[in-house]
Amino acid sequence: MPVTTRQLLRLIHVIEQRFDLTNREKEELLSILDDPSEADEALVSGYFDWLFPRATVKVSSSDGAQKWDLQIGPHAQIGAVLDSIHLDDLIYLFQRFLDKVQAHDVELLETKYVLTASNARQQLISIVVYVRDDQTARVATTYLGRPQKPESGGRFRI
Amino acid sequence: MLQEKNLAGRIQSLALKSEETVKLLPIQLTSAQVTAEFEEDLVDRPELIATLQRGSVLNPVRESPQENIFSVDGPTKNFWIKVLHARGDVSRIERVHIIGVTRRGSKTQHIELD
Repeated sequence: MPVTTRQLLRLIHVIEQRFDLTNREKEELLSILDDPSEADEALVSGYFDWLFPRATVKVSSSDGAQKWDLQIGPHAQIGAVLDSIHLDDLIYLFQRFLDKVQAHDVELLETKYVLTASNARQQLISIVVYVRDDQTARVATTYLGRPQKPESGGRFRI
Repeated sequence: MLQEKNLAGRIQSLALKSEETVKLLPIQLTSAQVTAEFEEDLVDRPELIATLQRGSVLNPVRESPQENIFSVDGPTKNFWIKVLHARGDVSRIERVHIIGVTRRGSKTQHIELD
């Protein structure tokens, strides 16, 4: 689905607020976003990825028993900006996941998890997380809503 | 920080988009043409390069609303990738970007938290 004007405005706002960019760099980046089709091409081809280097945050379950590094790459960060999903939303969602895992004594597998939940603003959001056995979880994509249908198996609650 | 750009066509590589399975002819890629969202995943780069060299089937990822992330199986790993081709020539693959890597055959777990 092509990027919408509203999504572009969110990204423009983020770029305008960046104090680490020169005015010339901002002008260049914003000029790409002036043209929606060029902006769409630029976004999907990774042109803006360098603006959003990987972020790592420590996330623990509420009882402190689960301690993880949640890593968020450029692709997921840009998707979050476009959909107005905040870093706090990702942390909150992953912490809820850890709480459930801890409460139900679920063994985590080294695979992809699609986590779906409402954030504090009652938006349904989903994230795809690669869970690894070294206590790191990598957010691959973020988006509003839920996947249309699972690749295999069904959805389940824990 | 920005590279020199040609304003008339500064986005040189375009992302392959498809809602359908794509059969990719064998392609030769150098290591430099395979990048990754998480640099730790580059350890699996040789398997991806070898997989794409043999010709491969790209399946659109259903878990993502975008149409530019594809799943491809190697002998031991499953890769989520973006495929970037030359402007005006879809068959000329210029770069492959790894979004994530898991063990081949591992099932995606869908969890509803509400």
